This record gives sequence, structure tokens and C-alpha cells, in this order.
Amino acid sequence: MSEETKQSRNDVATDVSNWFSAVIALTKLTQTGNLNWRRITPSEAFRDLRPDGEVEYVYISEFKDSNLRLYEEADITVFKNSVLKILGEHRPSKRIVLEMVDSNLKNLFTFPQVNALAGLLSAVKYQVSDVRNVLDDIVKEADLIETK
Amino acid sequence: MEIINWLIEFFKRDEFTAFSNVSSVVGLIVSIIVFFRIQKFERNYFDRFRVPDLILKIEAHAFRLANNLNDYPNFIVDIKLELARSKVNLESLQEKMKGRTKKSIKLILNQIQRYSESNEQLNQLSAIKSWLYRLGLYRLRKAGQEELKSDRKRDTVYGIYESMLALTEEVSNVQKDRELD
Repeated sequence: MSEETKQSRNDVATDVSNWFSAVIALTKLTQTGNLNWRRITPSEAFRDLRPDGEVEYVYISEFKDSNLRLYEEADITVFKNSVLKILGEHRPSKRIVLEMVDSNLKNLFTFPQVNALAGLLSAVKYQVSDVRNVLDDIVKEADLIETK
Repeated sequence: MEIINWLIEFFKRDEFTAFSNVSSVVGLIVSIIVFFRIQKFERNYFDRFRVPDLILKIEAHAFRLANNLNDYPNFIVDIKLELARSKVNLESLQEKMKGRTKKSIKLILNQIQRYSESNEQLNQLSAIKSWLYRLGLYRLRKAGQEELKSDRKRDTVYGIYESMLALTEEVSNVQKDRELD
């Protein structure tokens, strides 16, 4: 491999590292309750753009003046090149997408694919499901029953 | 008896000595080539199968750490366990890596070590504090100060999580480079 190619790869790696740090920062903000997300069902228009992909839910958040959208979709590109397809397997792998969107939820920019996105999605799902409060409620309910 | 004498004479001949010398040298060269081939094979095996496997495992540890960070105070024990498990895989990877990657792994291992040691010290300290508290010689700290300490420890875990993911990206890139070479 030429030095030039290696250099360009290093440049790409540095860029990816910035995105990567940004995604981790978003995860931390979400987990510490400084960034709030809400879950919405994707619109028909959104689904139409992804005829092969199954997007169950979309998560939206407002960060300063920009909107963020996070969702999980079927990775058709991987599926098309996959041995699974030849074997007749109809279960494509999933890809997590983080985008910056405008107020009409139109895509402005898509974040590069970095491995930290899985952690962000997990944090968002945890926040949206409100697990912590549900657990507190369960414990309170049990305490009430005991005192009765 | 004649045959034995003939054989002794045969082995004493100069041609045979020269031939055996050449054979020894050729044998040595072949052994060296085989040795390096085996080493290369081992390296290839490690790169092709073991490294991706370890990377997947480290990525899974990182993902579980992220999950546990969703509720840090309630998952401190799980975090400690996860870090201990990841340490084993990181050490396995460190043994076979060179240069920058080896250094990165060493840094992560140091971070884990520091986190575990500080937890250990904290446990001992809180045991002493509770003993002093029972004797009426210690006043409990304000909640804010305890929270700050907890936040710092959580930040350390975020640092480890980030380093682990960065490592998996780095090693994946090194692997891709090797494949292209």
C-alpha cells in the first residue's frame, strides 16, 4: 500500500475519531439526563424512502439549535453481498443511523458509521422506556402492600 | 564382515564427507525456512481468526459497560465484573500486538487498574468511616460531595469505554491495512 493511501486512511481515521468522540459525548449527555429523546413512529414518507428497511421507531432529540434523529434500519448493502442471501436467509443485519435533521425532520447530515452508535441507541432506549421510574414505582407499590 | 569393512571405507571417503557437509548446511537452511514459515502461519492464524474474535469480545464488553452506565450507581458491581472480564481479553490481545496498538492496550489496562484500586481504597475508607461514625467520631459528608466523587468515577468508566471502542476501531484498521498489503 502506498504512503499516500496510508496517509489518507490516517486522515479518515482522525475524522472518524472526532465523530466517534461526538457520539460518546451524546451517549454521556443522554445517560446523565442532559439530553432528552422522544420516540415517534416514522411517517409514511420516511418509510417510503426505505422500501426494504424496517424502521420500527425513530428517536428525536433537540441539541442546542439542531435536531437529532436516531433509528435502526436493515442494512441492505450488507445483505446484498452476504452469503446469507445465497443461502436464502431473509434476515438482513441492522444498521444504526444518526442524523441531523431540520425542523421538518428532513435529513441535513448523516453521521458516519462508528461502533459507538450501539451504545447511544441503548442509552436512548433506556431513557425513553423510563426504566428507572418504573423500577421505583414497583418498589413503592411493594412497600405500600407490605405496610397494609 | 566384508560389507561392514566396505561401509567403513565408504564413510571415510572425502566425497562422502563433502556430501554430508553440504547436506547439513541444506538441512539447516530448510529448518530455518520451516521455522519462519510456521511463525508466519501462526501470525496469519492469529490475525485472521484470533484478533477478530478478541475484537468482537472487547466490543461486547464495551457495549455492556455502556448499558451499565445507564444507571451507574445501581450497576457499580456489574461494571467492576465487566472490567475484570475485559481485562483478560485485553491482555490476550496485548501479547500479540506491537507498537502503538500495544501501547493503547497498556493504557486501557492501566485505566482499569486505577479504577479497581480506587474502588478498593474507597471500600476500605467507607468501612473505616462507618466504624468511626458508629463511635460518634465521624460526621457523614454532604450528599453533594459524595455525588461528585461518584461522577468522577463514572467519568473514568466513560474514559475506559471510549478507549475500548477506539481500540477496536484502531485494530480493525490495522487488520484492513495488513489485508491490503
